[in-house]
Amino acid sequence: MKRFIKLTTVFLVILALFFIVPVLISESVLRKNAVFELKENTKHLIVGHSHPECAFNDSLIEDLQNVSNSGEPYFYASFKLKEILKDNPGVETVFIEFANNNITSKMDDWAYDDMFLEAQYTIYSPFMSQKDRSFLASNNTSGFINVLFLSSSSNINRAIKRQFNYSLGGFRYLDRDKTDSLVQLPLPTVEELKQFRQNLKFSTRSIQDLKKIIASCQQKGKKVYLIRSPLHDRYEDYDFESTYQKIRKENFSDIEYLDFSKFRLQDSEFADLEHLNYKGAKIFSTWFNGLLQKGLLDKKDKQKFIEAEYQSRLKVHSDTSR
Amino acid sequence: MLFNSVDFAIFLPIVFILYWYLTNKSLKFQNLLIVVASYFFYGWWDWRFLSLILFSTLVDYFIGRGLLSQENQTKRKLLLWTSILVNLGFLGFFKYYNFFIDNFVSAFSFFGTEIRASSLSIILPVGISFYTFQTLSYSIDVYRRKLEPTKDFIAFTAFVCFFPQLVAGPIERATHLLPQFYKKRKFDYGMAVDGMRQILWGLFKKVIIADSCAEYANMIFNNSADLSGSTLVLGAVFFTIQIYGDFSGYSDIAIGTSRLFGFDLMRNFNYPYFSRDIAEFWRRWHISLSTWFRDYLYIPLGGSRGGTWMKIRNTFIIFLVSGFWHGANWTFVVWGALNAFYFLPLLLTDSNRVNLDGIAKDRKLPRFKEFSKMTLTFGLTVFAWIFFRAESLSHAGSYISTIFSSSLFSAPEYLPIGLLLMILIFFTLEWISRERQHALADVFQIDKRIYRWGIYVVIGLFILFSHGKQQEFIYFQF
Repeated sequence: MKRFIKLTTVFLVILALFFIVPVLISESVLRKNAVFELKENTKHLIVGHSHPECAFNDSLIEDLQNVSNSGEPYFYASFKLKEILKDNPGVETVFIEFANNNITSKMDDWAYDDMFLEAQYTIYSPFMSQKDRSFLASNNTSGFINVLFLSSSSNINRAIKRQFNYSLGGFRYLDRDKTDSLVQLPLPTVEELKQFRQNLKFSTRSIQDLKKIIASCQQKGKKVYLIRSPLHDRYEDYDFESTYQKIRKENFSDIEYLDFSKFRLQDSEFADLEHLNYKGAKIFSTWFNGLLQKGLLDKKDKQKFIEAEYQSRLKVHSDTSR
Repeated sequence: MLFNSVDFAIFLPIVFILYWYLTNKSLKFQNLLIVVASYFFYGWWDWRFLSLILFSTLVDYFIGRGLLSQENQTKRKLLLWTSILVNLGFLGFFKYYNFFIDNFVSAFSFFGTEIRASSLSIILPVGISFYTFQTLSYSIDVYRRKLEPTKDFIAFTAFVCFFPQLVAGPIERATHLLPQFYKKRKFDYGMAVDGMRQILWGLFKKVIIADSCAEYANMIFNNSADLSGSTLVLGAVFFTIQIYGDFSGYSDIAIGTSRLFGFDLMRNFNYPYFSRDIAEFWRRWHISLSTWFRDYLYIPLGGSRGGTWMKIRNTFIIFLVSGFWHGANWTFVVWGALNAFYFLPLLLTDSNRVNLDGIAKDRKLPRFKEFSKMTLTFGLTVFAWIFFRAESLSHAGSYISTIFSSSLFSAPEYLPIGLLLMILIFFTLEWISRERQHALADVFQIDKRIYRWGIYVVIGLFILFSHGKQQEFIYFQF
């Protein structure tokens, strides 16, 4: 019995060594050679999840690249951003999406739920510290162990095939319009709202990750702005708007906040209540480009400037439609 | 809990250590630990269905006790039928209720009568077809006085729920497995080491062979309308290998795990794709189910005794029931019927028991005639598996008609050379080991431990690097 256990343990240790050594080598090769290259002359970056991914059509905005990615919480965005800033010293400004759902516990699920782990860990594992890994492992042990195997083979493959170019994300062209049917849905009752707010949980981890991203950008001398992409008036997470604003002011009062959530668009220009479709993205991106050209980033009170631009846009809009 | 999951990798060593260090002093404790571990193993998937296993266990235990004290033949029959009805009742409700309702409604509407009956949203409890048959074998054997009914409730519960074979077999006979719960198990080094080897080989079959083939088989079957005949042939071959790797891999892990605990389970697969005719294939494929049907259905129906029509009837019954056992879908019934048609010529010419000896015994390679027979049998099996894998009969029909079109002679859209090479290596290893229970038994008679371990490490690394996306075992759905 003892002999069996001893030999099995020895075998498992040998197997683990043969497994771990190539994994560590491949991770180190990828870390050294990874390329996170932006388009030439990129000065501004948009980072975030699907909201900015669908809102900022960077082909219409000068010197800007959208590196947002659906379902990407700050936890994973931090690794990507760190590498991007390392490889692209020309970047001056980083716009980081800070929407209502960025502070909810949904972001924790996006960090360590099986599906998200599988999609994100396999990409960013070479750039993670032991602390980051133990955060994932402590929250979803079996999922993490599974993804370790998956990412190991994917990293070894990548290193052998010398595929060092990493995908950065980018503008998502959405050709759908579900808003008409979504706005037909009844508004939540007072009781439902109460229930919703009671069940709502916030993610301290997400806030900490955002703080880390901001600190790392500032350390490299980059200007950071928190932004909120356009949202439909019926956007569900407006239900905790006051808490959202409170958390923002408590944690990020020193970071300039540019709120585009009230940018007026037709229902047909939304893909759903929180994403623009390609039509909405075109209108918003053209307008945002104009805003940058008019010197938005040099204004003292940027939000006031944005709101004034909203008004003049609406005025032009109503004049032309008259 | 899946055998190829991290959960099981944690569960197994814990139970192993507890079993050999904590409960090894007493038989009662050993059996009790098996019951607790098995209920935990099953409850990990859905604890609500534990009540079903417990109920089935209680029914058959008390019926067994009743049969012991009952001499009146009518009352004994009544007790047996109670067991059959309860067990098959559960199986029928959970597995076949919706199928029968839907078919009744369709049949009536075909004759112009609209009837209203709603299907239920029923979850099929994992392994119900397996443990139901296992407990039935106990009641039937006790009724036939082939087996003394047990007094030991814990041993009987452990027999019903023994976790290595609870959810997908092998379907054990009470006469073989139950007595093993009466004797305290002693650790046997050789048995445990061989068990580990069999687990490793089972994992290789599942993770490397079956899951890789599944990727292509799924892709091809799901898009069969848009692919050429040659690709569909390849898809059917991939599924043929997938189902073998998947199910025999599961059986290997189950048997290997049992050996770690000092149990000997019956063999479930004996290199079926090397069979020289369909009769031999059925002696080598899912042996525990085939022999169950043989002993508890075919022989009571008269078997191959009696006239020609009787033989034909019994053959069809056993294959149709076997098909239907796999699932509540006409595709399985047709798959069973097709196998009956394959079997019939052998039965009628009295040549169904020709190939009883080992394949190419004392030779390295088969003779040309043997090889041709093996290829033909494999081809027939591949064709039958199309029905088994298809979503519906019309899907199977269109799949087959595309195969027999001019596109059969075009180049296939998918040709994964790496996988085909791996399959070739796999079958070569299986061929070399065809006289043994599994390919790693005796590890090709290599004496030096370092070389043996080298092979294990390579296989282990293949498994680890291919692991990640856990694919469920196909036979869980049955």
